[in-house]
Amino acid sequence: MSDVIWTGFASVLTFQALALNLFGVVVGIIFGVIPGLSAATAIALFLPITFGMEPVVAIALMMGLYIGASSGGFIAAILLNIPGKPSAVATTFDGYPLARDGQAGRALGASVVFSFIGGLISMFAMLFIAPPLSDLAMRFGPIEYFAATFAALMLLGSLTGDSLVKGLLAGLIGLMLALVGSAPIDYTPRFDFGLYQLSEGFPQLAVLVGMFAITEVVKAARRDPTEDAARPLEFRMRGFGISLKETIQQMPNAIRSSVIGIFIGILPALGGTAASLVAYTAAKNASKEPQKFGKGSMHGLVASETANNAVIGGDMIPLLTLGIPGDVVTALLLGALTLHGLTPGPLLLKTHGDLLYAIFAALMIANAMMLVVQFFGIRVFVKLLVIKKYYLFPIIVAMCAVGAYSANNVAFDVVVFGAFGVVGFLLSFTGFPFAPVIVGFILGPLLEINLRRGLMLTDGNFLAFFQSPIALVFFATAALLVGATVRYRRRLARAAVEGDSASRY
Amino acid sequence: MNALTHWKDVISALVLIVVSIAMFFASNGLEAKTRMDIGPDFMPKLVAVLTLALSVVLLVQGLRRNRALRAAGKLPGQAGVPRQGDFLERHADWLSLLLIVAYTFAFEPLGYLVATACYLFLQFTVMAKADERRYLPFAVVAVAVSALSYYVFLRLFYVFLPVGLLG
Repeated sequence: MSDVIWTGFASVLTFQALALNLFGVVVGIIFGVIPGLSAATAIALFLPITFGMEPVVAIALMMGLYIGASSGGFIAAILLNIPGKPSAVATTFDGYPLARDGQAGRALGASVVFSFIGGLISMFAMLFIAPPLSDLAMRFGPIEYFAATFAALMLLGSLTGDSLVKGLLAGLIGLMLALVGSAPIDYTPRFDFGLYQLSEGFPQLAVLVGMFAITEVVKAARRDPTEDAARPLEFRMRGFGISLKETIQQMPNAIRSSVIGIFIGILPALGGTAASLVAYTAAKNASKEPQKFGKGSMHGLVASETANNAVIGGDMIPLLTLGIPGDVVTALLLGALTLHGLTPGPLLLKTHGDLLYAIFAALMIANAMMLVVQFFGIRVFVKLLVIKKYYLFPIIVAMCAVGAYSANNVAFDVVVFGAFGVVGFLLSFTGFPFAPVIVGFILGPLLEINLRRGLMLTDGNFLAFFQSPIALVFFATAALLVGATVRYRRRLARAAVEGDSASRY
Repeated sequence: MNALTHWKDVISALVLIVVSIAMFFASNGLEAKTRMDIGPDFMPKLVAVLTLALSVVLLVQGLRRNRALRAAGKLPGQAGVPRQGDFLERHADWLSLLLIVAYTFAFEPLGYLVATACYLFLQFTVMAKADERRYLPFAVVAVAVSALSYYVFLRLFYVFLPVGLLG
């Protein structure tokens, strides 16, 4: 195995790939630090400029952006008590108390170090879990593939957002959008509204960029007065701010949090936010001093920051082995790989065996660069917290419009970009989660092809789908997790009602 | 916040019900070029039926919740932070969306340079607070960014952006 890993590193160790990897990490961190910008926007913005690149170079850039953007969220969490990213919510619990206590440097240093460690452990997990899983996926027929896709969408719909019905409807809206354009298998034109530009369906990039970038800008335009008043706390940092001894003492916690992050990353729908919250709770339960959590416990901070970066490796596993993205970032990465002729799916690692190792190498190098860049640049990144958004955000919109245009060099795609900004705004205004829409849109064609092929195999008998043991496992897992979520939400709702009435009487 | 907040679920459910019914009937016109039992109309019909069913659930949930709220006397005059500031500040979100849509339509007819410079200037103005609005720097940055990005995209990435009015 070691020789293929070296081949992977060798493919990334070119000047161009390394330079773009570093560029990606720096830009990614900037997007991670500024509240309101996300990894998804960073990747969507730079996706178009990878068109002309070699696949490996494009991967180096994308992985740099992914790692960088996943690690910047803690700065706002610690110094402003605002989670820069949703996945940094649990970081605010102990990070901000630590900073108020004059230990901001220590908290920032520990976050950098443990983001690195969480990422590192998860990348090795990816390297060892993906190949056997890919062997298993090779045996998938249309029925199993349909079951896997369906389960992923069900999970996304039921676990994201705060209403089961709306989550599932969001997935269906995504599937509807995917129906536009020629039908798979027989190429019958469908729902193109008489526009020849839609005969291939909505342009993927324009849809994704429009929904993300525009919605983020429109949300930022409606400013939050509390955010304006926020001033980052002062901090002093010597070295990494955290001693080697303390780092070693935190390792059991870090390993537990990484394992949680990796598993949550593999499951579709649940991402860094859930991982950091679960790891935080696990660390609290395992701690001898649980009363310190929430008041500036290093254990809590380490758990949160390790877990939300450990999601990265886990997230990549279903993408590379099944071609199923579990969240928006991986959906965009899927788009990026497809543009370079690398169609993710069960065959990807068989036909492009070196790809896994190139991705592994790109992630490892980006992770190391993240450590170095954060170490030397943290003072600069902190200044980004008070950047003037009214200059930055509009420029991002214009660059995204160019991106949407350059995919096919047609102005129609720019109009689609704007239209999906409106769609995204309406969805977020009415409280529909984004992730199921995006993943439904991307997976729609796959779901349809496999459903139709599967039904042809079974002469139109859907019940026969349950005779496949693998498919049954997927259906059962989806049903179990959806059932558990529904029960958990009922309990939360009941607790809220009881708490409400208790306070009133 | 306004009264619309409480009707979000009901309104979105109604819209989805209309869309799913329209989609179901539009799918009737789809015929496969080859004879197949499972044709191109299968998936749209399936999606339409599922959407219709879940939208009805959402509609009922929304109406029930509003009835409960009304019974508790909470529906009219909801609490919420009233929007502050001048006209641009109070409506910055809707105006931004409107500007972006206008920009995407102007992209080709006006050309990248003109459309982008105009969009950036107006968007800076809408996004900045009243005391941050400085029209001269906004204009300079808007023109500089569009010119520089045009040049970079053309020379570095070989993207030929629409020239429009300046063509």
